[in-house]
Amino acid sequence: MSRERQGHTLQTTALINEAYVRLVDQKNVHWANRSHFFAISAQIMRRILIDHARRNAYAKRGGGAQQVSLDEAATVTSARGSEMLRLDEALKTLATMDPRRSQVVELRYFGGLNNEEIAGVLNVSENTVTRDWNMARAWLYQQLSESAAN
Amino acid sequence: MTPERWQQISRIFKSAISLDGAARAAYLANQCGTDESLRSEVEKLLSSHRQASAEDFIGGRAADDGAVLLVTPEELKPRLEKGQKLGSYLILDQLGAGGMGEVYLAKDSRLERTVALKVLSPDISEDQRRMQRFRQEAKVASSLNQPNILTIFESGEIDGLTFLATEFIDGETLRSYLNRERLKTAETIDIAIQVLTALEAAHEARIVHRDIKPENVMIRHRDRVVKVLDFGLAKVTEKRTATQHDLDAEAVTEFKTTPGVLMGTINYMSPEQARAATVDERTDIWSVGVMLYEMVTGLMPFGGPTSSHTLVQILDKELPAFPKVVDAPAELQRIVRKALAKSPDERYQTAKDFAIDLKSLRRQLDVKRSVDDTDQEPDDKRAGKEPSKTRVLVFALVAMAIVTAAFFGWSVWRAARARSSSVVIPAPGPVTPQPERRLTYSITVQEFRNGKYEPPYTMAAEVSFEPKDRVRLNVGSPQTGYLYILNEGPRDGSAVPEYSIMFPSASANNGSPLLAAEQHILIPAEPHWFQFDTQAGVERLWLIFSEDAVAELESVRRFASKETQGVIADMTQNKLIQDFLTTHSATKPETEKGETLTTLTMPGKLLLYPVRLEHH
Repeated sequence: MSRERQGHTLQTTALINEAYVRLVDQKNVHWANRSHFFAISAQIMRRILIDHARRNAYAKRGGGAQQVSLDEAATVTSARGSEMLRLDEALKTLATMDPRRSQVVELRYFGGLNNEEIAGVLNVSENTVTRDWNMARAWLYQQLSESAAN
Repeated sequence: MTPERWQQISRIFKSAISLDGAARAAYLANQCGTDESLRSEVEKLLSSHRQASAEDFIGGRAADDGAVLLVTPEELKPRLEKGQKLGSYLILDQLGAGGMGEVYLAKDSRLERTVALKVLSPDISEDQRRMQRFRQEAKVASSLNQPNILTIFESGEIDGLTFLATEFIDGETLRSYLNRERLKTAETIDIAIQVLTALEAAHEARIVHRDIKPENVMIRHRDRVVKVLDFGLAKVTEKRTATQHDLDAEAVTEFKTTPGVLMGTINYMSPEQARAATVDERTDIWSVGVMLYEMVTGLMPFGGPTSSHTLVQILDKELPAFPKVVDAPAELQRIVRKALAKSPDERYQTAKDFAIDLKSLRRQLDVKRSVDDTDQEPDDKRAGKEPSKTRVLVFALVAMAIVTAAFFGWSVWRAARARSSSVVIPAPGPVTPQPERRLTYSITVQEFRNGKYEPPYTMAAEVSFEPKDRVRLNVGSPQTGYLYILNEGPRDGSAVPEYSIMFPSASANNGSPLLAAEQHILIPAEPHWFQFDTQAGVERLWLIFSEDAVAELESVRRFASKETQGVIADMTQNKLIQDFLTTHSATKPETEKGETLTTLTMPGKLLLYPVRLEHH
């Protein structure tokens, strides 16, 4: 999931809107503060992406006949979907060992927050966030490389 | 891996990462001792760290990376090709593809007109809820008839494809224009005024757009006329009251968007939308405010890397002042600030009020400009766009000299079996036996195309006119009665429009409102014409035909003099006229359109009808 600039602005917007809709749907949630709000947003974005990835994977299995006409975009989609799912699994594993580092990844990657903001949300120093990020990302990268190789 | 092992690894990793070469090796040897597996774990992680950094692994936003998940190969492939036919539509080109489907340029072979054909993607046409939205869009937008709102011609389903045919605008979205160019203050204001004019019409019909943003605003290349698109998210406001009567009400009342579910682009969302609270017309005011801010400064007033950042800003952040480098009048900043008040109650309450402030600022800027550069070369096109002309609906006679001549030159039109022009119509004899009023009118048009006027033709329909087109009205009745024709001017900020009396006039019909049966009058009289200028708008000509003289109108006949040119320069009188028209236009006459003639029939002794002349 290296940074690629692909022309999917519309879809990005759609995703963000979807996240937004789910966010405001949490009617009963009383927003304790900004931090709480950001944390929930990141979780929601993660859930949405995973849902889409799952649906894609499911469609692939179900629609075998259609795969004949799959073009490049579909290949990208399917690769990206499975990466998303593996990242999600790895993050879950990470959370069992080190919940804070897992949350740093969630806030940064899914929530789009910068280190300073994450430090605010988690009430730790910015240096700690940087260190957590480095470690978590390296470990996730390793997990994904290994699972891809298998 | 146990949490303890993980902690151990991460502690070593954290320090090792800041060391390199021999120092790192020495540190690892020291920390791991004989635990080879620990050392190998840490080294693997360090190597992964290097690669992850180099590849910028998860370095972007998940929303960008995952966007591709929403694209399916079917969506990427256009379903119609050039030359293909969908019903009576011949596909000429693909214009684009978006979230809801594809848009094609097509020719409607029935009417020989070019249209934009929006074809819905299959997963939408199979989705009940979204289909509902699509139908609403078609319904809502087609119930609005205003030059700044995209016209919808038809919607339906052919060969399993759901489509919407709309007016084709050869232009670009405000978004693409903003991406390309930095707008001048005057142009910014002009665009905002036109968007507000569209919204004014929508709001009058109790329709809130809810998704005003530069992507939904198009600017036509030819004349820079602005069109607002996509009333798909619109919904009728809840506070609709029983006293409001509008013809389109039925078309739009029965639908609602799902409560609590927010649709729209976050950056232009109002605080009340952001809270998923009830929204009304004032949410559109906010969105225009955001757009105006963006046009002036090139920046978003509220926005962050994620939707939650943006949301927090919309709700809490004070509006940032225009950057110092932006050369915008202080008044514009005040206007934007008022539009972007967090509380709807502190905002402009109507699109009209908002537009009034912009128009008056525009006038000030023009005055200033003409003082600044006095020897500016005359430029016809520019003059045509002059906003100092506050009349949005400009309906000018060919030239001022002709205005006067025409106005006082109106005379009784003599049909083939002409009467003498000096005939004084006798007092109303026994009036027609029918308990109803009947009036006919037709419009003679001379189109200005390719630099010259086409031969005139006569029609019944009220079509859209182009700049420089000329029209003349022919009004008559099989009945005898009193005829009055009023031109309703723009309101320009006041609640009461200014009317001009066009018939009777000092010279036409010998100054009498009394029309004989089968007598026809031309407005203006030959050889004069009304000519449209370049400013888009709708001109309303009220036809009032009564069995008896109408007291409210008799009292303003004195304004039909050479000095006043028919303009009723008396607000009390204008108010009386407005009340009169409002009271009596509650019931609409039955209209029957023939090939070249429209027949209006209304029960009772009085008939009222506004002829709408719309022009781009």
